[in-house]
Amino acid sequence: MQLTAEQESIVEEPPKGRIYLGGMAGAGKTTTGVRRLRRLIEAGVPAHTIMVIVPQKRLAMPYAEEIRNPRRRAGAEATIATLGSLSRYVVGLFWPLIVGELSRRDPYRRLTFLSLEMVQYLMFRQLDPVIERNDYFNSVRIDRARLFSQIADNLNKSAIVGFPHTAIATRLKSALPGSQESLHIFDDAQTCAGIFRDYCVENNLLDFSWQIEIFRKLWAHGVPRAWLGNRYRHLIADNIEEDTPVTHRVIADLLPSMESALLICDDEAGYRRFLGADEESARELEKLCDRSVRMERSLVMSDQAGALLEELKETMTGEDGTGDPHQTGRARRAIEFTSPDQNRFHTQMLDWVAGRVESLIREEGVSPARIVILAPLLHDSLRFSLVTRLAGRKIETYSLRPSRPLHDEPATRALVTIAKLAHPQWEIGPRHQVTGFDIIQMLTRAIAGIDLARATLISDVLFRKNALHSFAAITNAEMRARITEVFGGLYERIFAWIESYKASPPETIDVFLSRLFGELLSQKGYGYHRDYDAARVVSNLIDSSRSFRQAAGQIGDEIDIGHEYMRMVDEGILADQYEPKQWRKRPDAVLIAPAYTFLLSNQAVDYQFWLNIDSPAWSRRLYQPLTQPYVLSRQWVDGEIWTDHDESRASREMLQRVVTGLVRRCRKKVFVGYSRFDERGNEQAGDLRVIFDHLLRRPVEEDQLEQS
Amino acid sequence: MSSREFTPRPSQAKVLAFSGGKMGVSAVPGSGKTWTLSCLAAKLVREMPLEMDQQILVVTLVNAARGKFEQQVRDFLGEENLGTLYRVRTLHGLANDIVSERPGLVGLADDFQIVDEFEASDIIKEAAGAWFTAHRDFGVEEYLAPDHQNSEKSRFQWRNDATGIAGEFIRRAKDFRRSPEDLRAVLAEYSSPLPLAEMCVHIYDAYERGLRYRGGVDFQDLIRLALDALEADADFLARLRRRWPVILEDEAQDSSKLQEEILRKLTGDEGNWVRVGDPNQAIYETFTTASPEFLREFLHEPGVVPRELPESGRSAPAIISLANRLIEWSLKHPNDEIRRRTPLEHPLIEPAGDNPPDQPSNIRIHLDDRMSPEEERIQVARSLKEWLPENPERTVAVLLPTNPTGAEMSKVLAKFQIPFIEVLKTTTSTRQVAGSLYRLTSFLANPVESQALSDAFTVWMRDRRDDPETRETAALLKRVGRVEQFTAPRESDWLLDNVSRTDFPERYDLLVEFRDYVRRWQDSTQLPVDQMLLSITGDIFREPVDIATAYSLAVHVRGMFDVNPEHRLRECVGELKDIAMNRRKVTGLSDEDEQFDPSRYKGQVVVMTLHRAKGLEWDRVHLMSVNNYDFPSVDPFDTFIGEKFYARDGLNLSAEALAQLRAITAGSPYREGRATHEARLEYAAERLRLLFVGITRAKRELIVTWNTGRDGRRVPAKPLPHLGRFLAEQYPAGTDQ
Repeated sequence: MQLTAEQESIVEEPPKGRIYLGGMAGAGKTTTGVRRLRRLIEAGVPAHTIMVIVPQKRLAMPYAEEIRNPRRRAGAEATIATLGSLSRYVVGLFWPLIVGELSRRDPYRRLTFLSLEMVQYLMFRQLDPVIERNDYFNSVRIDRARLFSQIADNLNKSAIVGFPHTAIATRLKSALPGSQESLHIFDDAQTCAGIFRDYCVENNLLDFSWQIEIFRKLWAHGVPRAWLGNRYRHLIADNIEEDTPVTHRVIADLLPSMESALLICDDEAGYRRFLGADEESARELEKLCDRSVRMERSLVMSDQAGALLEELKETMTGEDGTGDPHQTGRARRAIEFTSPDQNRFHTQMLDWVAGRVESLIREEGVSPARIVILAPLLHDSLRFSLVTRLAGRKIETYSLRPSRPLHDEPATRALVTIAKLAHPQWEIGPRHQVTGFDIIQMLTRAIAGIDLARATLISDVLFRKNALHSFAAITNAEMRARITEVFGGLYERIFAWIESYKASPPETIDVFLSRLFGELLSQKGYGYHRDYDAARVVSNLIDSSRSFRQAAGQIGDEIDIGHEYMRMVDEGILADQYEPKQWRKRPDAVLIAPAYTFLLSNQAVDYQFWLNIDSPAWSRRLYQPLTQPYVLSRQWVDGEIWTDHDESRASREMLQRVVTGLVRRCRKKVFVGYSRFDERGNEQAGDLRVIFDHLLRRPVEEDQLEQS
Repeated sequence: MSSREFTPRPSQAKVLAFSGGKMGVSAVPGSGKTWTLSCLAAKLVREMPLEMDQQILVVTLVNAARGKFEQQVRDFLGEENLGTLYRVRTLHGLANDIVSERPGLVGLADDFQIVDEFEASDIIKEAAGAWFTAHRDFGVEEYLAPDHQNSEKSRFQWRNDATGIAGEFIRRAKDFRRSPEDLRAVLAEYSSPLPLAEMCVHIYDAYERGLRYRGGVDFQDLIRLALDALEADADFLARLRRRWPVILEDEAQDSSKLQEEILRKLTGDEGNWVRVGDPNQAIYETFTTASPEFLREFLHEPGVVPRELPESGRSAPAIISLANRLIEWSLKHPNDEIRRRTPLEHPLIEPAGDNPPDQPSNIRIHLDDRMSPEEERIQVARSLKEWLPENPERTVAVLLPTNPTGAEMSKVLAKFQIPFIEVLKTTTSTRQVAGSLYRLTSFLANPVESQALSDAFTVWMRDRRDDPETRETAALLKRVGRVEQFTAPRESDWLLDNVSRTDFPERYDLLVEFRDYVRRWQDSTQLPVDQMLLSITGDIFREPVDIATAYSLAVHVRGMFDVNPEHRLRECVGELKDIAMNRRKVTGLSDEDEQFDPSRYKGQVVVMTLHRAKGLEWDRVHLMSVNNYDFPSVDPFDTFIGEKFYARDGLNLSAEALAQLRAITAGSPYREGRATHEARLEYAAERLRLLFVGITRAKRELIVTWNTGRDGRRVPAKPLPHLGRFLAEQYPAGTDQ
């Protein structure tokens, strides 16, 4: 790719000095960062002295691809770090320095880093009885999983922002309106956070918040800082506006010892605020740099897309008076609305999307990789409906979507069923006991080629009293013939494997699952044989169960870990987190993604489809009754009150950022998906629809409109 | 009449002249109030200097009316845009909008679940069951009549009914904005024991815990929480007041106290609010805290400009006279206590001048026909069988007091092969979609049953289900026996063995194709439930509305599975069956749900409840079951739906529980039995209004029938003989007495 002169000047800068690179999305900042990395290495800088800091793994993709570039010489590599990985690394190495602040009971006990799921599990165990006993949170209506994630979120924010975790409730109560009665929930949340933190400290368990707090303590200690400063001499930090104040502190402290540094900041982003991102502390880093560069020219947007952005901005900021009919006309050419005959039902809108995508690809020769379909929230049903509609037109898709519960994966469910059958000692309660239908699903998944009817016959005849029985027990020749001896034989091997397992001492859950897969299900004749996608899911299940076992083993309670693990899978708490393939762009497929995820994926496309513009989710922050990202941010001034005015301002800002960010990543056209009824049959009226409606009413120069 | 042709009458023009402040409009049935209000909304959209984020808000009572409004405003405006300068919402929808905008203000997360009536009832049932288990003595001894104390059947029934009683109690407590903790405290202070209240408060407490655990709110909560949110943050309220500078409210007589309070808050002292309603059509008093008194009081508030829409162009003069006669009769009601409640009041309906003409015998009141319920249904069906072919361009409805009687009527119409559309809990089309999905998933849950296979085939062939070939093939599949030999043949193939490829090539090819689909559907059982349903949907539905309805059902079932991760295919089948069988209420997407327009169903009979018929009109209307059970007058021989056979002293336990609630919240004395009596009076008054609503649905013809009930002891509703006599005097050809 040919660089602009502006990009060239930064890339070619000698490896000395600190540069702050600001500007808008689509101006080529990340490309500059990646080429700078290449240039540093080409200039002879040892790769292992270079550290790239990004807010999350997904944003590291362009750098990771550069590092993996086959043209590169073999040797040590540059380090790509996030706050999570960096802090984990530092804590893992240096924790003995602050041993006095760890568990009083057993300070030298090995530290255990907890996954998000493990935090949920432990909160469930530790806090649920307390909540029930004390009737906590009786004025809020949220399910337990959400409640725990908000308690964890508050702890994380206190660690990231740097205020004591004991001050969470005080902050929230003083800032949010509400009666004494409704505010007591923050006290409840505070108590629960305290109980959980004490439990983690006592057992040397590190949830993310405690990990960050220890990291901060170690950082203050100086040794790790000096060590990192010696090891790395060159720093590239991208998307610093999406990073946290702790990361900004680390960068600020490292900068003086770096030979060169490039800090990249997007001026109009800030999409991770809810996760503790802080643009303002990011911008403060500019002062610590030797020179600042701004990139203000889009390398992405066409003239029409640029006009659309201006029009939308004017509409959103209420600067209507500046409306230029020529500009409005050009902007109209960059948008296309759902056709009136397809805008009644949500499903009609999806048909319209699929039809337009098809005509772009087939009639206009657009590459699928240049099209993205975006929704504010991408539910499974929506994703599935889009994927099947496009698959019907022979158009491939891939999705960036949040992980889904493990128990939703058919490949997982069969193993879960067999695990339950093989461990009668778990004495599973009626809610999650194996049912006849579970057996049918297990058989159709596990035995290659078996059909639903024969699996049903086996289940009907051989699953009794919560246990399977031998195929040999069927003496009725007709029934044997209906099932067939082939399937009977394959079933018998499953039965025999379970019986043989039951006869020997139980294995740990991960070993059990590995054996089941290796000895039985992956063998010829079984459904997992050469099914690599299913193998990936199973491998993830085994990894997840192993880390659960290791963490749960550390707690030392008298629990059956395998049983507990399966309970968590049944409850939908454990998710399939493994999705590295999906982070990579696919040249042959249309991307389907939530709008925010796309914004954080660092890519531009020619055509964007915005679905459900009626949805309030386009402009609405995530509302959680026990937490508040603005009040728990670094900028919050003690004593201030969060008012409705702040709330609507935040909403407007958020919509502006999303709309601006998306159009800046769009080369040619935005297709606006609108239907009177949403997927549940409700009529919504989100702000984005209001904005487009307003845009439609603006006067247009006739000649411009005709062209559109 | 299209919106473009609308020429307002002088009384309508006065309403359209509204330019601000508060206005109360008392409108008679058929006065064109919806047209007037839609026209006013459009006029305000055009003439008011609205900012981008401002809207004219139109509030209606039920979803069916909302869709009609939406369409009319759109027609009046006649513009091609996305229509964001006005918003038409039901009161529950409005409450949902308010709560969703700031859920944190009232302790909710942004993805809070709305628990529907069915699920709410399940939670209450569970709580009631737990209560009875823990209090074995209570209930049986306290409220059962002595001769029912040892009857298992009565005990069982009482336990069953307790769910409904507690449900009423909870709804009312929420309307009073009282929490279980609150009520527990005042109950402990109350001077005498109140066993029903004690039971209900306990169940209420458990119910609330159940909702909390699910992260859910019920419909009552939505209203209560919307008001809480408006009260919790004055800035939020100010923002919404700015957003909705004018509120137009339809069917205001049916708004509850809390709903009125929400609108009052949103308009404030200086706001602009037009309330249109007819106190004579208030028919939700017994279900909610709505009362026609609220609208009457509003009309007399200082600063409110009162207006009337007294002319009606809907009905033939004779039908208007009959409705007016009912008003006059009610004002002289033989029962003092009912009369004092003023069930119906002036103004009388004035013919507008362009009404349909009277025809000979266009009103028939079958007073002397003593019929059993089934005989009544058959008589109506016979009459329709004759009338329909002669009037293919006319509309007709059969209106009944309850959903179950509606369902019974539909069966008889089906038997007589009379085309009909049933609009009861869910609409026919929603149920047809649910029914198709039910049959298919039922086959997936029973893949070894030939009958299920045959049903699945019929569903797959739904567009040609009545073709002889389809029927024949379905019958053939019913005899498959070993289903797997058709769906997944191994040693032998049923299709090859039983359908000759040379003799029946089309049938053979069709079944090969069907088999491919069956395999796809069977494979889809591995998918999460919503995806399974969506896969099937793509294969069997063609119409956009069916696909959209199936999609919303898939999302609905998925939501159910998310809350209950232990659910399997069987539960999905059960849920779809409940929807298909009308046991379960879901909002559909078809025209019948969204904006029911009788004129689209010419040549078909519409079966509907009287409650649902409000706001609609047909050329011919059959009012059925007008007896003293469905329309009582508190005569000594009347029996009441709320008074259970097993209850001591004929108590209406639900009414008594509510009276106990009122006593503890107001700190007033409680006298047993008084509430039962009051409930009778209230019910009788409301049923008179319901009869008035029924009569005024008819444009040209009205046929009124009654039946003797299941026990054969019912008599015609009290006003019926009077109306019959009136008719005989005024229009001698119109009665059979």
